[in-house]
Amino acid sequence: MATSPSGAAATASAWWQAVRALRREAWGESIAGFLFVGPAVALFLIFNAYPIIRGLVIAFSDYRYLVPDHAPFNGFDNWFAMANDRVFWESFGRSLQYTAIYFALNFIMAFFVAVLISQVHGPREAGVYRVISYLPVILPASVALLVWRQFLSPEFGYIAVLLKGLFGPAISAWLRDARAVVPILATIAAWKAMGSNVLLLLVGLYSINGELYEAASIDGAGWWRRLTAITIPLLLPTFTVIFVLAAGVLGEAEASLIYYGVTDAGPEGAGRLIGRYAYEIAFLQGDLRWGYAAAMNLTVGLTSMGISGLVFRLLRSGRV
Amino acid sequence: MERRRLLQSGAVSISALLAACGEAAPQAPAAGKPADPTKAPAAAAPTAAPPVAPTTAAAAPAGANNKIITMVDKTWADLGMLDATVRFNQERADLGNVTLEETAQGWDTKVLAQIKEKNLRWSGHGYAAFFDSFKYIKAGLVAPLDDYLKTSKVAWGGKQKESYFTSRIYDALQFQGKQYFIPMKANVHLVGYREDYLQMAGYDKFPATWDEVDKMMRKMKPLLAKDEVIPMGISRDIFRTLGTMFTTFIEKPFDDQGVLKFESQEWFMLLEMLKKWKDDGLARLDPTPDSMDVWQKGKFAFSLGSHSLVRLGRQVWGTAKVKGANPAQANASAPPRTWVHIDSGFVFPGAPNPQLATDWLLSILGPDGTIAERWWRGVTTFSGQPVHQNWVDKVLKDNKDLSEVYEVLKLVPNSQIISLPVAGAYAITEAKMWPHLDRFFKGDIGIKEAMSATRKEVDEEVAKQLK
Repeated sequence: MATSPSGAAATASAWWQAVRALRREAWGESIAGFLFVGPAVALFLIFNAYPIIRGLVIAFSDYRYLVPDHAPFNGFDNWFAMANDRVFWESFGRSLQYTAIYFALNFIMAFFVAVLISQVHGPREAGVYRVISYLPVILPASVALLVWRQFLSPEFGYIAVLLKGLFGPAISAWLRDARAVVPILATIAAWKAMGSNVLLLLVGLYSINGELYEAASIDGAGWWRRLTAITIPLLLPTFTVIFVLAAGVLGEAEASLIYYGVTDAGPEGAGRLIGRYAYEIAFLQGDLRWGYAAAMNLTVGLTSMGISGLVFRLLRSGRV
Repeated sequence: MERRRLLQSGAVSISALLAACGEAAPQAPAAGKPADPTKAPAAAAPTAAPPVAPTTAAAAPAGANNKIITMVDKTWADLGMLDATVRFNQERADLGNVTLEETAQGWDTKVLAQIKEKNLRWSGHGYAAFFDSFKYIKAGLVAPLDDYLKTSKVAWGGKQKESYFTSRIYDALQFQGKQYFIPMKANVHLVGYREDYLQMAGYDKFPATWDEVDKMMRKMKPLLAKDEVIPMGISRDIFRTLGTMFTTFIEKPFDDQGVLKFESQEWFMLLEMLKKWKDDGLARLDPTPDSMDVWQKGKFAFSLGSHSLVRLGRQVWGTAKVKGANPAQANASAPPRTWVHIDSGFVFPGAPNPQLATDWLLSILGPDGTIAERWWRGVTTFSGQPVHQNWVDKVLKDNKDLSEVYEVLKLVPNSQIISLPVAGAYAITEAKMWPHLDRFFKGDIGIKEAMSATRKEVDEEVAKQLK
């Protein structure tokens, strides 16, 4: 069928108009979309992406804060240095121990408290217990740690006085023992963070259908059986979140820095966790070797990711 | 007004966070002013969100040649630097006008970035702790002052040596043939003690030698035991108890490289003595560096450190019960000594009008005049001591509340003032030494073994630093 030139032109023009309208429409929507996500993306780029990229760049350099214009790329030299750094391995070992204790304590305490609160039937009473369990989370870390320092003071703290009264001075001496440092710091940190996990677990517990428990009870399941056959399997996704969050404490430095202060790493240096060691290298000692400290933190970050991955892998198989 | 403040504080927070992200971060929004000080119009000042409140009546436009902005921590601003600056602007208008701002967290990162980009907003800083002074020089944060001192219209800058109450202060300011700092206070260490506890053991004043202190503590111990009071507190900051006591054993506690002489016989003797006291229940080793709370609870009878020990003790127990005294000495026949370090003000390299910044420092930290009086009278109420003979005489000589400070200043001419390189090695020494000292105090190893292990680790760490 023949088409006149003017008809073809009109068709092309109509087609072009339609395309432009579509593009305008799409673009208009895009602009609105960009405007909505723009602030979040900008914040992410500035406060997340940029520091991560900058940290990565620094980790592969010999950046020394106190040596002007000195940040040469040094490949994997920081990791070779790390491999031979005795203090790094000691600190890393302490941090693993710290994480393990924190991991166990935080989870056990939170689970125990959450199960107890879930058994409280009065909504007002349950609310009071939820608030109480969450209070340590909102307490500033500095305040919480200084209060604990008062409690645990080897000579004049309440716990030392109690132990002295009960068992004599020799028993309370463990409070100044280097071997007690990591467990003490991990316990305080676990106590401080427990409230968030209590809330997470309560959300999980409240969402479990009560009929399941009724049915199990009718079938003769006792408290333990209901816990292991219903509660725990249904809470596995929540456990995953809790364990993944706990893996992030591997590089923690705050507890040690506040409890022992910036210049001291506790008895026999036993409070020198890996995060603290990186802090000392970056902000206290010598040239302030930011490159080396960044490499340490990158290593810790990757290890945390590895632990998280392991947690996901282990718990996924059991998820219902 | 409130919204503006909110926006201003938001701008400060964001800029501080950006600065913390790295030196390449965008800068200067903290001030809310254009980054280039030469382009900063005076009219911009009202919208500015400086890291601190401007302290002068008229905020100075940064670009004007005779108007500069300086910074200092809030503590020192409140103690007199702020008043002194206001006075400076009134009395020395011929020199220029200074706006003093309080420092914000991360100021050093920001200043370093601005120095590199040659758009520095601030000209000087009123305070460098002695721990940081070497670090600041090394980082390129401090300009040598020699040329500005020569051309300064503040007369004493050219004849400092005569002004300080001991020429050792002037000598301690020199580093590689140059002067980088103007002293803003001395820290002269003394003994802080509970007089009522000493009186229980029959002592009216603190003993003059460590042998006598030993005897006194043995008398005190049973008398104080029922209240769980231990005679002596040993701080875990090396420069407090250990460092101060060490100066009484040895004339020069630091070697030429600025490292504490921790392998000397005198150091060994001191540590063995302290361990014996600790083992005998006469002394307690602080479990953490800051044990002022234990002191304020009255749980030990004396310790050594800065005048803060006395000041904080008096806050709880009053002037009648808490006294200060010169440190006891190892040898009664030698000239008595103590620990002295100097904190200072400085000028940034590439600063707008560095001459005015130098003149400002010289004026507010000077030996006489109403400008400097604001500062020196203020700081002596806190934990600092004057460095000029004039202020020692005017502020301390007849001041009954601070008579112990006046007395301990007499020890300064005999004492080695902690010099700049010491600050460079101090943090490494402290970090490496304590784990071994803890094992020594526990009885696991001897002092020689502990210090030789410390030496090995300090050397290893020092070898990692660039010269």
